[in-house]
Amino acid sequence: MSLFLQSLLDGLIAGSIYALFAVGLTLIYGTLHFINFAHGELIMAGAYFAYLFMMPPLHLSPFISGGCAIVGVVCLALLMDRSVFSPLRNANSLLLLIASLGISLFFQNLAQVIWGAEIRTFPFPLERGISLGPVVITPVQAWILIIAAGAIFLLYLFLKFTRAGKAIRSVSDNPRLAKTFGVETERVIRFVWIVAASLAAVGGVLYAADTNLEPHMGTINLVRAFAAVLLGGVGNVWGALIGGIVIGLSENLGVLILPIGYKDAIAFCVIILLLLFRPEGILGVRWGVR
Amino acid sequence: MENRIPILSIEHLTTGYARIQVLTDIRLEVFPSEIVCIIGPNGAGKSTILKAIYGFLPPWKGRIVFKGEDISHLPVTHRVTRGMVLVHQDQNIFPSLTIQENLEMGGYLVTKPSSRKARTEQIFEMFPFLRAKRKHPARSLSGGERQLLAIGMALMTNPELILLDEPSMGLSPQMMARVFSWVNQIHEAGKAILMVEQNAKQALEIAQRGYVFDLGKNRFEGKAAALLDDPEVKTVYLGGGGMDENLP
Repeated sequence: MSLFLQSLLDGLIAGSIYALFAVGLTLIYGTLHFINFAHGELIMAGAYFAYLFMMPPLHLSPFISGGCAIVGVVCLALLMDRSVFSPLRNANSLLLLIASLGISLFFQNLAQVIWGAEIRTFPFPLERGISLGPVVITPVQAWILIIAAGAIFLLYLFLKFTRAGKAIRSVSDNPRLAKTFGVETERVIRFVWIVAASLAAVGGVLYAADTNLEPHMGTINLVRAFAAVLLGGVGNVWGALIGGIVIGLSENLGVLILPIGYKDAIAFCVIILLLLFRPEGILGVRWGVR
Repeated sequence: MENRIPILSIEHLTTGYARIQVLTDIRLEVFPSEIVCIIGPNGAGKSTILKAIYGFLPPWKGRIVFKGEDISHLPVTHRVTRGMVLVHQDQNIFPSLTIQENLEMGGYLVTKPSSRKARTEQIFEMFPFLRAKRKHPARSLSGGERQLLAIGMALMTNPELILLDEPSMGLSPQMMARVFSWVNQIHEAGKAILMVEQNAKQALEIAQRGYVFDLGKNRFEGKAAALLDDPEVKTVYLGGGGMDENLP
């Protein structure tokens, strides 16, 4: 029983990180109408940027390093858009998808050139977990939950109450009508990149804090995010959020039954099953941004 | 009427989609506070002219003059801030946004939150059913209610000229009468309306003037009452509904 509860908690922690990845991926889809395969590399870049700031010679605190990582990843995403996606704005989504795959491979290899292929970890001291009844949570994990929940809450406030947030939702709902009322699509696209990249950076840092860093860490997380997006119904922000948590839970509960080596296969199975039977998602598009 | 200055004048406009020419040498004028109706068979370019006026299609030749200013090559936002707005014939609401958010988006370029709030209140006064459902997503509205919401959204910027694309499309006769009566009331509040309609007869009954388009060209124009009585217009263009015009 305590093993089950512990897996539930671990699943929730992992899921809250996946949710950050998935929400960004689905926001990009909602406005630009393609699945950005380079989203995983934004996650990876977030983790490595934070690592860069935490290690000597800079030696900054984890929170300041995380903040710097967000700024770095936002710049990277805007650069990607300006140099590759913007010239392809009116191209079909297959072309955009292939372009994003190219960017993904480029940055994976660039990271390998800079930091090498070895697995790295953040320089956190080992800390004793805190016992909460039958389950144990480490201070880092507690921070992960708090920061992920905070990021989602901020996203909710942004989308629901700010003029820019409403403009994003209106463009993903009905771009022609948004344009009719004077919403400038390019500005909205820039906002969406900023939001998606920030969430990817935060998620990437949290993921690296929970596990470790390596140049190809984006790929498996893209798969998880994609599975979460499909679960929630493509383009549906709150669906993607729940989808992320479901993927985290099913991975951690799945390994209670399956050998642990199959953990990464779970997200793939979810994708295959959804594409076969429910391509419109489990949650449908009844609520959320779209 | 002729000695007044038109709020909108289209001078020799030729345009189309990609390489397909749809409109040829169109002339059209709208004076302040009048309802002008464009009628014509399918493929006459009725919806296209509204898109061109609103800046969704660049003109190939000719000019669009709004309130004395050549706006032919200016962006959509400029039209909105100068007092023009377009109500599309379909997909003219944001289905997953709440009704209140829909109205706020209609007033997106009204940057002062207090005036946006005041405008929203005015629209709620006009259409009390919207206030009752203001927290609901707009997709929960019926077809006719959606049309009225779309009109309400268009009024958020307090425009002087409203371009209405087929406001009666897909509505029941009762709902159609309700929408037309609102169009009339908005006109009585001093706004100019340029309307494209498939239900030509009902539209001409509330309009002051009308234009008949055919194959992307001006065919007839005149006082609405005169067009209603014209034997040729009557037999060729008022012969009853027909299918919806659906250009890309």
